Amino acid sequence: MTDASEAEMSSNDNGTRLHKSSPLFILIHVVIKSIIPLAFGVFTYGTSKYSNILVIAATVFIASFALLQYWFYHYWIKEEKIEIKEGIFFKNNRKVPYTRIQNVNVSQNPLQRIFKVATLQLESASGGKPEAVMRVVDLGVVERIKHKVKQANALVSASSVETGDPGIENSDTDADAVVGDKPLHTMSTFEVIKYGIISQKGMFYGAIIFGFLAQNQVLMSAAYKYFELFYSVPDFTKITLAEGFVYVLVIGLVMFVFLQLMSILWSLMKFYDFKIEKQGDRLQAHMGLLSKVAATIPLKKIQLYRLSENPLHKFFKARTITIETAGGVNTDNSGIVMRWLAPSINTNKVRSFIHEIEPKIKLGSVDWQLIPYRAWKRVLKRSLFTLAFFSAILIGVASLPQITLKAYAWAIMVAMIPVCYFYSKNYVKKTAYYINDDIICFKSGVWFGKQSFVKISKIQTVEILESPWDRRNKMATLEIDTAGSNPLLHHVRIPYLELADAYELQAFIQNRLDETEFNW
Amino acid sequence: MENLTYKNLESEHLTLSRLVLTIVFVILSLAYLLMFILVEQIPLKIFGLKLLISWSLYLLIFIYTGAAHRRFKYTMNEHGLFIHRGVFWRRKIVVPRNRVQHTDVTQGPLERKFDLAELVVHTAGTRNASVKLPGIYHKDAEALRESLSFEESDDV
Repeated sequence: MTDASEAEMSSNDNGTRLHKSSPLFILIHVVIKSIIPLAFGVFTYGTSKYSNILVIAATVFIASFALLQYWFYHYWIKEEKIEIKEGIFFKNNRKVPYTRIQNVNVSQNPLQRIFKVATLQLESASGGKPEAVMRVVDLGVVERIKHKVKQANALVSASSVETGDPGIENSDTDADAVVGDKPLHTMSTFEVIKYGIISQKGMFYGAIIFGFLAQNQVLMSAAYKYFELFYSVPDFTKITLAEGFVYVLVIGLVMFVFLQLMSILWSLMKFYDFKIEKQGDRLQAHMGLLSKVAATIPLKKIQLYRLSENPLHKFFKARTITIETAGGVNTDNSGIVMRWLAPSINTNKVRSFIHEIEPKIKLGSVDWQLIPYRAWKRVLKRSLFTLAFFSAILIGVASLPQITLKAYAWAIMVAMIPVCYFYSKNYVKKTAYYINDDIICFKSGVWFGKQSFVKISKIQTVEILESPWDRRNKMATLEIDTAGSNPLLHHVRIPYLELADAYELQAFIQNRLDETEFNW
Repeated sequence: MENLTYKNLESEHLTLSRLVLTIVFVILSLAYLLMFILVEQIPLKIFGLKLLISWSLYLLIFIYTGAAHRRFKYTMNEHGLFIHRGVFWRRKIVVPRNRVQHTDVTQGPLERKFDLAELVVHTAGTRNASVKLPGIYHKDAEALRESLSFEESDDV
């Protein structure tokens, strides 16, 4: 505490600058954001005298900009707030009271670890952009700010009592004692590798790499020449069907292995040494191989819990648990979005793990209610319509060159009809919901199962949607809206409900909402 | 919930939206007419046909606006704000009173002529972050806003 207060004394007039290595990191950040696309452009479309000068000029400009930014950035760690002054032409003076800071996120890449510094991100409850991003500060400063925030929040939670300094010390040691507890969930390296295969994230990065290669003629021909050193590529127009089959098999296998390796690499980078623990009213997560990430998630900021199980999850007897938070959705590039509670967790640990984090969600007592069985006919009609639409395109394309291809297209379409039947019969068996006084749950997905859990107190609005087909069948969809929700991901949107049931659900939720106050 | 009495939007709202629709179509037709006169390469038949198609489209939208106006209903009680809307795809939204973050009353230049306003209710949600209630009298919008923010308390 002594050196902290000393720093406060000395920083009264001019404040503290960021760490001396800061310009370097600002520079790297800007370079990644702007120079690399520029360089790609030059590399892909050839170089000229002017483009070289342009790149150099841009580099010099950005480098001096980084230095200036460092020069004009001051901060003060005061008793009850942090104050930041920044800006070269447009001065900005920002005061963030510690009580308003909900989240202190710290991230560290390998270079930052050498300098013993970190990027600090202060988030308030409002959501959206973080309150302040400090790039980069000394680890000691990080600890001091964390300490201040913890103190302030402890004071707020015990607001009725006038606490003196000793009281703060006490609450602090309490919090430290909790840290010593066993973490809620950790992942061994083997589990991280398993999650890599489950996630199949390699497909995403593989697509980017292939897309880039396909765009870039120079690289493409270079790669081809390198490949020819080891193996002479045959003339593909003159090979037999059997040979072609072997080639397809080998290329497929190579691609498959490559994608798996990419997935595993991604998972290791991101989740190596994953650890999540509960500290009072918040969760603390650590992970990462090269760039270490530490995130704090206040429990009350969690809006939705999501459980995923695809066929690979089932194969590895694991589940993925993700969350949606208010304020976690950052538009800023540097934003550390903490979505994972457990990238991969053993199936039989899921129940106790979720219960530990949110006691109101008792997976054991969730009594799933299926959507009406008669909905399968509507699902079948919808899937057949989709099938007809895509087959029309396929047949249209296939009819152009050869008559045999056209036959294949028809065959595929006919073969898909039983699949549609199977899909719709399973749809009504796998789509279900459950509601009680505290939570609403929804699950769906024939191939890729997903379950969403929302505490009733986190619901913002309740909506009933009736499409023309819904009205013909006296059905409706019930959708609830929560803060920080991603409309593209699985959320509570219960389709094909009996109209009366939908109204009953809406009234029930609305009555419960009257009784519960929403606080972030 | 069924025994609530829902109110329609003011008839001026329908007049206003049809007025805007007409203005847009008249301006577009005039522009097309100008092109027909100046460019002189469009055959009269095609010109007439296109004009006919666009004005039958106008008629369809004109009818649709009426249906949309009839289908838009709202009510407010001690629980919150209820909105029904949609012609083909119908939506019934409940905004609970204690989920209202803040409210806006907005008024455009044409709306001011008709003394209309739009009440925008903001929630902390995502898809329904702002629920809009257009086409009500300005004083009604103010009154609704007053009664909504009555219990609105302890902002963090």
